[in-house]
Amino acid sequence: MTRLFGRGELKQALLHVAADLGPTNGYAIMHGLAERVGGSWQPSPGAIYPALLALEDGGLLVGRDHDGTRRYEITPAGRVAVAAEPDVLDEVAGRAQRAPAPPITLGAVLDRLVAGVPLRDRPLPPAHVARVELLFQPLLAELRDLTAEEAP
Amino acid sequence: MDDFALAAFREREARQILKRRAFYLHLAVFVAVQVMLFGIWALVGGGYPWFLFPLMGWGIGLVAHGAAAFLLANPNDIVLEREQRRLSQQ
Repeated sequence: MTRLFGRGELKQALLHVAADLGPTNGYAIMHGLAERVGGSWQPSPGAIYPALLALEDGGLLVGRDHDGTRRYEITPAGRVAVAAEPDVLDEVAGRAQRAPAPPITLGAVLDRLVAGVPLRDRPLPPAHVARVELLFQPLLAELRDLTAEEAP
Repeated sequence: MDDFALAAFREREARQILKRRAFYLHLAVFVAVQVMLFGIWALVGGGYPWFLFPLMGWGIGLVAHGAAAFLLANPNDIVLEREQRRLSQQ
């Protein structure tokens, strides 16, 4: 799997989001970035927080504690850095769109469907077991045909 | 402490716990296999201590795994650990 962010791009992208949002906390910046990047990329505080610290150290963001929350605001030097690379978010978002979506297994689809069946944990009367199995026979046959079609 | 920072520190700690658990599992398998090999060696009458070769070969891998689990960290984790220490001292 190729990396979504090139060297320094995560910090640049965070600066763009901070510039758009104005003074705000780390969660808002992280969700703002996820929204702008799109695709199946899921950021986490463990990756974003060190980048915010580095931007603060570099004087591109300024962090201020406000009611127990740290709020980040872009500095004039940060705005210069944003203007120097205006397309970084579009490039990353383009890469995220082109990245193949994670494969969805047949089991995951079945789990999702079965999770919605009401009273699925209730014991079934013995007479109903055969009836349920009979109901699923045509479905299972169709699934076998479908997976046989996909096999190379 | 800021919630976002706290979440980042917890994530680092969870990663560290997983790395260390994986090492302890490796260590347990290593010990079990080495005891078994030593047992076989003793059961067949001792002699040339061939069981030392897998012990030393695998031992190098085990030491490397231990170093990765306890001494090495990715750059983000180093930053997070330093920041957590700094904030807790305030």
